[in-house]
Amino acid sequence: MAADLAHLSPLLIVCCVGLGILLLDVFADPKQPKTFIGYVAVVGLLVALAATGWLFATGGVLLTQPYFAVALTLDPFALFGFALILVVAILTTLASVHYLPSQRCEWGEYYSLVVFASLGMMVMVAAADLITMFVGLEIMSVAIYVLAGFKRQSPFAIEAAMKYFFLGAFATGFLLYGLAFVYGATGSTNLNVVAEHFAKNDPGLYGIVIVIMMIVAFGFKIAAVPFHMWTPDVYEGSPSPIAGLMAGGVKTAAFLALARVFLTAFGGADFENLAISWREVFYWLAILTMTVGNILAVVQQNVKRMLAYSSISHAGYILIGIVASRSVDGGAVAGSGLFFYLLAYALSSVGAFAVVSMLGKDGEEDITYGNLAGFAYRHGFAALCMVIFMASLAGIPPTAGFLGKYLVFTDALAATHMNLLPLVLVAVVNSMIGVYYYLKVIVFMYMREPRREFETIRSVPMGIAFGLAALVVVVCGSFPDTTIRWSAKAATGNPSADSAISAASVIDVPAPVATTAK
Amino acid sequence: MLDSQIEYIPVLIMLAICSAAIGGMLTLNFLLGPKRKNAIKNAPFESGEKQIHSPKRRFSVKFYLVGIFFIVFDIEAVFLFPWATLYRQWLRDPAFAWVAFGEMFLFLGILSLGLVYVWRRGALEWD
Amino acid sequence: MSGIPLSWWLTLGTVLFGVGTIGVLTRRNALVVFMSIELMLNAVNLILLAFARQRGDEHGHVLAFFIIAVAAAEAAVGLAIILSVFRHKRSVNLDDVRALKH
Repeated sequence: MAADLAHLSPLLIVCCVGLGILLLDVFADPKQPKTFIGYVAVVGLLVALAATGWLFATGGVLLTQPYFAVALTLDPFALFGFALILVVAILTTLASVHYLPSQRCEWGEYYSLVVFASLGMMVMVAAADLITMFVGLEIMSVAIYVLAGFKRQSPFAIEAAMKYFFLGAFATGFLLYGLAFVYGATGSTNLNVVAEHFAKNDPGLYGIVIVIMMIVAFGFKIAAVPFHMWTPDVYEGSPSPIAGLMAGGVKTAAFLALARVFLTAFGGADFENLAISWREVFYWLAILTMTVGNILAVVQQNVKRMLAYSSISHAGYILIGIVASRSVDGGAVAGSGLFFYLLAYALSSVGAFAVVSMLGKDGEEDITYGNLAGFAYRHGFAALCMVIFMASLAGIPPTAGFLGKYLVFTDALAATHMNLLPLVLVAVVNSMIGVYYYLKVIVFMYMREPRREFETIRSVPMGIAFGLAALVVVVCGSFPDTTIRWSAKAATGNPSADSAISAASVIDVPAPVATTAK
Repeated sequence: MLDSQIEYIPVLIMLAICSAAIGGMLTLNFLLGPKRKNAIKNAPFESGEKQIHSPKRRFSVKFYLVGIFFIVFDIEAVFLFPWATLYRQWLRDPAFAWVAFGEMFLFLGILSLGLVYVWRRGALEWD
Repeated sequence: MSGIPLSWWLTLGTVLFGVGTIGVLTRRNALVVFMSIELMLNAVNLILLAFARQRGDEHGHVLAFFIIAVAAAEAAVGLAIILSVFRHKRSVNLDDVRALKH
């Protein structure tokens, strides 16, 4: 019990930090600026990150108490996700502390909502049971709905919040419909038990319903075409750091949860032979998502919208990693490129949105390309970091984004279960299109004369946020050995692949007690 | 006819009686009732209190806030019921009973933190 | 399960879910859309309870409880968002909320 609680410390710390700063806010002097709450949140998240690092170094842990083990798995897969989510949350918070007062939306709840959203993401990636995953998803989503509309005096923000809320809740409905049929078909919602059941029984008609519903639900969360229409509007209307959290954090969590659910629970051969195989569907979704996202990104005038479409197209590349992965022994995930790519993508987009947060002051924001003109002459460091992020998103060496793409494509070409060469070719062509609009940002920053005086926020924590992100992106790109080792470790998946099946015997916690009682 | 279907015959009879009663009353009313239309007859509560204002006018948004707090805190009680039902069973395994006890009070503690937040924010004050 | 076969429950649940889905896609009033989403969630609850009753175990009930609680949380946030939309636009018609270009 005590050991389990120690192992759950990343989640517990994040939860306590969220509750603590919520109360800190209401008990603090209301006239004082809320900046200090942000710093408290950062310190708390750093402690949780340290705890995650300790667990990751030990190679993942097994929860001993059945009532924890049926709900959560702390394998390297989950811990890698924890670390990534925590880093994204820390960078988001740092980028926000001066953004909020300058946009006139400084309320202390912001920081606790960011922390709670991260908690939800962490629960999602660590979920061993579909119910836990659903609860994590909702903790994350409800917090993000509020954060999207945080600049509540702006009609854009409210519209963004409303769109995100309606589509998010709609997608939740589909997810639950799928979950209900998983339960109906297998009698359980535990991923291992579900996997075991489907290994022995043909999923049949229920399998098709489950696959369709789950793909729709996750499609909305990862913003895959054709479920992407909310993304640009929501990213544009949300506070810029929150757009970074959505692109870097929400998507990471959704992809990791998707990988776990599909590769563990629906990874069996029978699911491949259904009339609708999810691997086939993701194959076509990946092609659509990359292409549509890229083409629409080219025509955008607003940098935030461009980044939104770019994040859509990246969802397509990440889907390649999912299609190329294959579950081994029920639970393990092959394909370390997926993890490296997620790391590169999450940090680059969170950093890019942190730089974008600088553009604007006094409740106004202007994030068109025109406003970026001459940015490099006034903010050399920020512009340099932006170049790094753009290069990484475009996949230009020596950044992490290049290596991520390389590893994902290698995984895809090495896949034996499916011929993924056409997919990789489409992805390569798309990457080349991508270079155009990423370069456009750099051209505007360095080669155009400033049109007029533009207002920007000068903030040290914001600089630390994108500086750190840029540093990590370059280091992971140039000296990738450690990161590749971590990704490979995360990809080995569940350390308890064989013992986790024992969850089947403990799935019903009260039952053994009830029987001994007789 | 299947046994399972016979079970539902009372429901059918009930439905038939209800429809007959309601339909009969409406028809008789329509055929026999006097028809004098004027403002008083059309009032929502004939021979009752006079209407003070239209029921369609807006009411204070503060009702909404109180309503939402009620729903959120009320619905959380849904988790108490299964817990309370099973608790007597769990008592037979003291180690697990303490865990279950602690978990529920942890849950209630977090809920009360929410209440503290709501109270300190001033959302419970009417003005 | 006495009487009504499982497939009837599933059909009823699916029809309700479909009504909710169509409501979300076709209605323009934010409150009606929100009610349609709630209808979808409750259709799922119905399906879950039908499955749980057929199998005679409680896992379905657990998920249904969580869905009820989560729906309440979503209702709180969703209504607050609709309220702010009304403050800005004096309307809860989705067609009036079109500041962001498509």
